[in-house]
Amino acid sequence: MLWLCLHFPQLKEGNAHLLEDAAEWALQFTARISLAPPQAVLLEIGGSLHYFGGLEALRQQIDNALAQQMWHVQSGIAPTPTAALLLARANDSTPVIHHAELGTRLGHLSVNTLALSNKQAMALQGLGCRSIDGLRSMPADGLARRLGRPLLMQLQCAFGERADPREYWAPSPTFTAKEDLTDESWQTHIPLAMLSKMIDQLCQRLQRLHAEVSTLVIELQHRQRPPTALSVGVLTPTRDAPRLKELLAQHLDNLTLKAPIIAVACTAGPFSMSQDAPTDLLATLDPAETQRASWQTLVEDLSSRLSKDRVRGLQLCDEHRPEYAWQYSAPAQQSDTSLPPMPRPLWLLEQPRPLAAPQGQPQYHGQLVLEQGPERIESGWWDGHDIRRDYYLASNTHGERLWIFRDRCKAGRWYLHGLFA
Amino acid sequence: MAFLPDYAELYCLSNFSFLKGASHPEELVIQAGSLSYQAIAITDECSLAGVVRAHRAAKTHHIKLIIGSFFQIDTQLSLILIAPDRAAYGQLSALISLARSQAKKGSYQLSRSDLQGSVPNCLALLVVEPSSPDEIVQWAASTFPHRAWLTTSLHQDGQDTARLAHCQALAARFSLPAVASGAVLMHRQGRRALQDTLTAIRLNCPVSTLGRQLASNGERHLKPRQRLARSYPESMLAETIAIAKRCTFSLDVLRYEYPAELVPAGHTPASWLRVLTERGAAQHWPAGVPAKVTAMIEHELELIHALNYEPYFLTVHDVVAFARQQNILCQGRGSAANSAVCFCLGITSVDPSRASLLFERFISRERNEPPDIDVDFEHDRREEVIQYIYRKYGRHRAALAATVICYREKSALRDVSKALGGNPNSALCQQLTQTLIGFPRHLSQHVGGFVISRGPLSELVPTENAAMAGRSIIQWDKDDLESLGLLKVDCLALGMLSAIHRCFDLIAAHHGRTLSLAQVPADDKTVYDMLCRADTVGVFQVESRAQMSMLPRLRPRSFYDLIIQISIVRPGPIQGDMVHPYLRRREGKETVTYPSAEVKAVLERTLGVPIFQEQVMQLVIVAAGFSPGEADQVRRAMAAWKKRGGLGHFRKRLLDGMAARGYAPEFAERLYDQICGFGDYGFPESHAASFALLVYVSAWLKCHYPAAFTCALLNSQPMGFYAPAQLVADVRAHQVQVLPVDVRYSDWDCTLEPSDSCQPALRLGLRLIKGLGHAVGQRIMHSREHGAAFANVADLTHRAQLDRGALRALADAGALAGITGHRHQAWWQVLGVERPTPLFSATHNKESIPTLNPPTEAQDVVGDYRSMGLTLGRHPIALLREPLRKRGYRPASELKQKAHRRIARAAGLVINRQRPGAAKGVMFLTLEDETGIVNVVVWRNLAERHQHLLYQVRLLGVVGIWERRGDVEHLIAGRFENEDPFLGNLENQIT
Repeated sequence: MLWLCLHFPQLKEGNAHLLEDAAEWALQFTARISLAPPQAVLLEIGGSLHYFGGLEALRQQIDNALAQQMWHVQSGIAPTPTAALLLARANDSTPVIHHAELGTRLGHLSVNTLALSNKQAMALQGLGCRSIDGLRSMPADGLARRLGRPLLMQLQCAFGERADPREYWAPSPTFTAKEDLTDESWQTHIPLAMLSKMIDQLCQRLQRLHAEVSTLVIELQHRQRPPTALSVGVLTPTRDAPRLKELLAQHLDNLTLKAPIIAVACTAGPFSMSQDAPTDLLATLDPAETQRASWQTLVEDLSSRLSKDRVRGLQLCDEHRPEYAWQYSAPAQQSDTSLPPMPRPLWLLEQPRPLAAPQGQPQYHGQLVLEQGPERIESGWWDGHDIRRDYYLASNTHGERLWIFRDRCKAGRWYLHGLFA
Repeated sequence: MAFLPDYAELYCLSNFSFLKGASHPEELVIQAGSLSYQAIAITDECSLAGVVRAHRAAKTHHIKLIIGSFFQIDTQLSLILIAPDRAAYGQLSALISLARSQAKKGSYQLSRSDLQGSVPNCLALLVVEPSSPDEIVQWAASTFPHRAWLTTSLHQDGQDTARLAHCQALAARFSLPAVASGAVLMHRQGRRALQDTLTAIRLNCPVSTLGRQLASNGERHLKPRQRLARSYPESMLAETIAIAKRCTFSLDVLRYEYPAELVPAGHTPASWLRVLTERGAAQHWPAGVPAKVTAMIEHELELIHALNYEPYFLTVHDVVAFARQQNILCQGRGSAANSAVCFCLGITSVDPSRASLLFERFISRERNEPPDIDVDFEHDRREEVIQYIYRKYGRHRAALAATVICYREKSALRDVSKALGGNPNSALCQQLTQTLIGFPRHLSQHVGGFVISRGPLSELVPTENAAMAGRSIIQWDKDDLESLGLLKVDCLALGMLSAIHRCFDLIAAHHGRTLSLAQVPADDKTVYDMLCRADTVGVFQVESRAQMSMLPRLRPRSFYDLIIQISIVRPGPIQGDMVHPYLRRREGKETVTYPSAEVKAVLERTLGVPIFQEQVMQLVIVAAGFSPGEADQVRRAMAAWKKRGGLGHFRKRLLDGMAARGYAPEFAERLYDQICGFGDYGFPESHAASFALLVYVSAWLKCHYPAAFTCALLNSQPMGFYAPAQLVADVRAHQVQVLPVDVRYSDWDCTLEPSDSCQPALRLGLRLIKGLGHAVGQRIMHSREHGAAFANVADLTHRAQLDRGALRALADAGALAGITGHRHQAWWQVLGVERPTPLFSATHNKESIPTLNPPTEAQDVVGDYRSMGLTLGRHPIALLREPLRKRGYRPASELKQKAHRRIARAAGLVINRQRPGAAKGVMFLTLEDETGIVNVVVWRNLAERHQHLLYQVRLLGVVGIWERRGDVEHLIAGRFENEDPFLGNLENQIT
């Protein structure tokens, strides 16, 4: 047996799936792979040497393949898996072929290549013990009592003094991926893009495993509503990403959403070579549901007919300045701002219109009578649009009721700002 | 001109209603004056914190000030209570104290029932809104019979008509008078943006997101009377005047009443003070009081009596007497402290016959300013003194003065830019920040200024909870107290007093000599020799590097020289360029001329250079014709001119005054610059005199008992300028043997042990070990005293009940070496200790001990440093000397041979980093190597560019220019190298 350890020093704990990715990648060199979390994968390469033309040739090929992966990886080769692991951690890639070499090759390694808890590391520092040789020179029983038996066992495994059986890893024959949207979405193009990426990942995996699928199960998840499930099937098993994406796009086109999407998921598998998966492209849609009319669908209809940016809602804003006290919003969106205590006109002019005011008496279709006011509004200095105005409710002989103001920034000039119904 | 009605503003919040009011109380008062209001009330929310400032301004600008407070009782009920007379004021103050005590710091809580009968003399203005229900009016009418008003404020929000009508209707229905009020938050309209900003800071949201939580306009300002006449009916304006007329209370009538219990029956305060003084004098001079001192005592007692200050001296004496009885060292300082009377009372240990200080210089009949005595106590025992004061006078009669925490440049900029939600460099942001600077932000507790009253304190000034549990503070700060003539007793904490006390105890135990502050022999030549050599590590006040560089030049030879030494080497005099003229004159290189006899009288004792705060004040009086009161304002302005912007208004007055008295303009200008330079840092002579005593005493102790002195300093850490490593290195350089920390011998504290030399040896204590608790140390000492020597680690563990953490800490410190051998062996044994079980506690299974490699010297040194921050072995840099030399670094001792302006390279441990405010961004580093220290100067640009490096690196290499001026040498940094990897190599044995 000869073990090659791939050690990923920058891999963070909790990224176990990345180790699985590495293991899957390594399947091209050997079937006997073992995970050594949190940062390493062990390959038994003794059985592959002949096939690949010897150790040097195999190492060459592995190095070449690694070069394409952009991984930060250190490797070690030794007859025991633990020794390979220690060498990899020490970044000592010169292979150890025979057990007899282990003593000299491992002895000078730092104790930090062992898997140490913080407490153990502190204790070893206190003991002044820096190398594996130093550790081995201490009485085994005393050491076990002080630093725990597992550490002693780790040492014994490394030197082949204790059996070190490893469980071989098998690739999972299924695929699962899920992703949250950053925002709720009624549209399907964002979910589609996310799902397309998942399909790419799936197909890459299938490629590696020489497998195929015939059905994808897509879930569009909603808040407080069961997910919308789509089953995307093909007649013959495949790993053709463009084709799967195209099918998915068709499904989504025909779909009417009942609630906004908050997350998407894609599952596939178990992977197989068989070709008997049933497919029924149009089976999942319920035509009755698409008929249900609602405010929402009206808006959507209008939007699709008039183009989306022509259908808007109005909303109150929490602001003193009348110009900023409302805003466009998505149609039918509710605002939690209350109305100001003083009356506001329903129609606010886009731009205040200057009024003639001979002798300071404002006029609009005749002389204006000030009915209510003033309401002084002074606000907005922080964004360069400071206003200082006295608002009045005014009326004229035509029975028009107007909202006018005197601008205290502009020498008391009068303006019309809105009309009451 | 149309008839203008008279008006008094009765509802006005200043910026002491924190983050609501947008004007200083002074601004409001002055603005009310210029609008010709009849009166203005400052009615901060549940607070009187701003009224003294308002009172000062009102007196200067001749406008009537009314004292009141605004309360939000519940969502519907807000009211203003106004104090027309002294009784009402006391009730209001007590009510505020109650409201504050019922809520956590910074807020208040008042229920309607709290107002029932608690403020029978206060006038109540009920704030009426259009939504106000009848029920609250009914409540007010019955709670405040014949002294309730309805008030409403019109701010043009569109509802004024409705608001006014509702108020008048309610007034008619319940037969209550209606009165106008402004609900003022700003003195001028121009504060609108700042007021919105304050709201944003208070609600912790950017101003742009606050919407209608902001005021809809900037109307809550003091308005011209024309506008008021247009808005309010005449009767409501007239009612403000009616109320103002009923208010006769002024803060001036507050009379501070001293606690009465200090004078025994049959004595007056004067006769009792005389008894105590004479008793103290007799103790001091058993052979008879010197005539000179008797005369001084008589003179002082007469002065104290003329100003009625006896109770104050008695109060301070009582506190000090308690401290003495508890064997707590203390030392008074301040304007009245260094007097013969205070010496006899034990308040100060500065012998009046020793320093030629005139009592009258400190307490002046003309200025009529209250005496000021601060008393420093041992820092770790001050709490006992504070508890004594609370016990003796009760919590209702004693409280700490407040410190008003104000916005400073940095905090103001931070809050404003947060409120604007963006760019701190915008013009808007800068402008608002400038206005916000100096605004009060909250009240904090003064470091130790106690106010003690005869009756309940809360009837004199409101009290509130301090941040520290069990402490209460009053709502006024020390300036407020001073301007009302109220006295406080300052109880401060001083680490050096703890150290001196410990040192006295050690000397008594090991040398059999008892000492007190007053008994330390005066005028010891060897002590001054030591000071002139700048051999002052650990000595109070003169151990800093600035002081050390100045000692060989100033060469203090007398007690008064010490007073000057600690006063002149300070940022103020340095900035005011007073050091060099003084030096030149002292060295006789420059003759002193005085522009007049008056100036000579003030400046002669400091060779014509103003060094003390008192001199500056006297100068403006004699040379510029300021009144004593004005001089006092200069003093305050000096302390705060950076905070509150400028001494500009004094400048002209000063220059004109001096010109009129015939002084040359250059002299006047120089004096003005010197005053500005003083800034925050001006040191009063009266404080310097007391500190100088501690300088002398600590220097004397260091000179004659270096082992005891260092031992005491180590046991009083953290304090002072130097870390234990430097203190230990210094004492070893003085031929004192220092013994390592050892679990067999070390106490918790450092101790003295007999030795072969004349000085005892210093044994390091367990307290130096990082990660070892005090209780653990006590258990080790206890089990050692009550049993045989520790046989081994297991025995120690069991008897002292040590846990793993404590054992490791001991092993790391090398404290187990005596029973285990070197550190690695210690760890082996420590790791082998098993949790003691009841059955097998002492029976330790015998196992072989392996032979572990001993640690290298480097490992020991690194281990010592990691555990204790010091080593008794070689200096770590000594172990790195060869590689450092290869990189061109020279040890400190070799640099001393370098000539001026030569290139030099030094590397050392950074033991000190300083960036004094006065040095304009220049940074001072102290590097330490095995041969000494190198002082490095880093100019501002360089310091800013390498700030991160300079604060992180432990072993720093500096390439620069060697500067030498006389005895002062330093390295002007040009380039830095991070040499930390060397330290890493040391730990990993790769040297």
